[in-house]
Amino acid sequence: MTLKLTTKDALRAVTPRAGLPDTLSQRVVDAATGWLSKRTSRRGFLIRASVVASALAVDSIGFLVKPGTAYAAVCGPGSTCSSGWTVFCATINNGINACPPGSLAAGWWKADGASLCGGKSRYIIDCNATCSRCDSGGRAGICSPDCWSCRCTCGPAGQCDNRRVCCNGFRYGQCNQQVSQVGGVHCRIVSCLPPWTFENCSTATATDNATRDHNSPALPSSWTNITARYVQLGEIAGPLGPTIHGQFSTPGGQAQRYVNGRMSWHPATGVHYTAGAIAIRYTELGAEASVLGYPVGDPGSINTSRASRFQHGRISYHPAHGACEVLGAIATRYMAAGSEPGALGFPLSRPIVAADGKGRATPFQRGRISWHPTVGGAKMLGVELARTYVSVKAENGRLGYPTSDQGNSGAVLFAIFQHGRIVYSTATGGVVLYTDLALAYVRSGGEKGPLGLPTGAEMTVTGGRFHLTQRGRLSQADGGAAFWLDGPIAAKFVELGAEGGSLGWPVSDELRPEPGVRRNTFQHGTISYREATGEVTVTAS
Amino acid sequence: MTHLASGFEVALPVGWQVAVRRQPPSVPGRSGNLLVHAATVRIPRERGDFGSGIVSTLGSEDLFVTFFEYDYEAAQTPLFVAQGLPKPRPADFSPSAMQRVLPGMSGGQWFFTTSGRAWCLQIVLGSHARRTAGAVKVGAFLAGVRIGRAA
Repeated sequence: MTLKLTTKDALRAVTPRAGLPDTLSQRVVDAATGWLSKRTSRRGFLIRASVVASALAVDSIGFLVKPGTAYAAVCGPGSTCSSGWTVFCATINNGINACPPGSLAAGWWKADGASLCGGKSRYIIDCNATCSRCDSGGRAGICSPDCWSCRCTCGPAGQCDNRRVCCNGFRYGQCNQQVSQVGGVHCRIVSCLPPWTFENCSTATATDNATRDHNSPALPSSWTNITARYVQLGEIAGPLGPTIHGQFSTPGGQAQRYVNGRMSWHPATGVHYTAGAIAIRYTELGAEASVLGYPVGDPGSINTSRASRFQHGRISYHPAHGACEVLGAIATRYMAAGSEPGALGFPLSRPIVAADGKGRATPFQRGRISWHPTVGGAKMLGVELARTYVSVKAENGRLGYPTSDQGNSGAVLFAIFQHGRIVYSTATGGVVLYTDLALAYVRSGGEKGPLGLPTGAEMTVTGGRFHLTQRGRLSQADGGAAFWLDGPIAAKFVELGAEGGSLGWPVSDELRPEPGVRRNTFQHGTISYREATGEVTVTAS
Repeated sequence: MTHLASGFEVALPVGWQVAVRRQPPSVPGRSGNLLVHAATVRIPRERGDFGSGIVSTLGSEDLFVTFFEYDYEAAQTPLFVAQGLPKPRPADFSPSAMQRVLPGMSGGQWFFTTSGRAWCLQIVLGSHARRTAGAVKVGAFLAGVRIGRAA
């Protein structure tokens, strides 16, 4: 399939403020890129469109009213190789604003009143080469160029930060003073926080305001609420680490990638970050464009674990289980149950899709939540019922989906399903009652009724099935309804051969035809029990 | 001899201009370190600590000198192991030994400790081709520099 991009489409992909109504800036970008698109290749056009858009983001007034190129507005003054300045590390280090391998911070300076740092000081740190190719020569501070770990070249073509790479044999001298000799300046990193807060640097302050607007297309191009929050979090030294490339547009918002995470902004949710394994999983799912939507809070810590909340779900990280998302109605129920510190603990896996492709479930350390569109809301089971539920194939088994959260009757736990019931006690363990047998059990009074708790599994015999309880029995003939009988009546029924005996299958629940008398009717007779005397009477028909 | 600042004196040769300022104290309560600029051209008010805004104005016979002072603790580190004011030789200069490399020019940089104070001496020559004469000229300037303990 061929994707056809118009000028505006391309700009929506690259313009930080895409989605806003047409503005003077937008119209200028349209005009400029429209002209460009007629005179350059598709790839070249996209690069140039990006540069124009970035130029407007960085310095819209300056770009519009002053002579010069979009490249100058994005990368600042002196951005050519011949200008003599050194390239930014982000330009040559996969977009990462950090010293590349084989280099180390060797000094720094600041530029005051930098718009890229919200009007405050912007710090530029030189990453110098190491003297890895030999161990002598040179003088204090800088080793001979033959020894440098990198070779002098210009910044990569196709973008505007063409400044020199590993050429300038200069050392500012405030960082890593324990290293007597370093090589030339490999590249530069930038920060809105003082270098001594995140590098092995001293506080001796050098200033060079001429470099205030030096920048790279691989660095954030403006001061936004995302950058402000990043700085507040400790910037490079914070939980997110260095930036990777600049800010970019997301559906209705903006985002920025970092070595250890991601920051997302949306007008409805504000600025929040995700970090570590949670951020990786969020990105795998599609990040802001995924079913999760935007983060609505920063990560919370629970001992060694973490979790992030999103518009439509949650991602929880536990060292033993990894980062697992909890989505939609299941997430809502999970949070109502207290999330990770609550009754369920951490999710054990990513969402399970049921065999019908519609139902969903998430298993947790201490339970399970299941959801199906035909069942109202997501329902929660504790660990005991969940274990039993899973043993009968859970959502894909005969029970179907839970239609209630787990309930309890004293120490007895139970839950109702589309096609049955699970009852749990420490004495009986988890027992599954299916369909009509479950209904008969409920008619008898359930866990508080005369039958007591069901025991064991459903038994199948010729012509039907039955289920034993602590003080009675549930019985159902094939094609018929299920009925219950208890106490002396049930005992007599068993004595007479139960379902295979002379009376056949029960055709009624235990009834009270008159005060003090209990009676069950069977296919071929009745059994009555007179409470006052304890007399049991069998009548054949 | 002109007393420039705490512990820093200079006998300025004819044709030289000197300017001194303290670096902004980056840590509250700490006084800023010393920064001395000397040049054979006019020293502009707006300039970078290592010569932005002034190096580009150097003619082929001009020189620019920076003394940048570091925190006291730095004097104990390997970078500042050299003792005493450096004596630059023509061979010490290189076109690439500059913060910003400019065509035809040459630079040199020395880290040293004197009177317990850690410094970087940076020198930019307007012409690498005339570095021999430049080294003599800068030597004459440095001969008039005295750095003592800060008060």
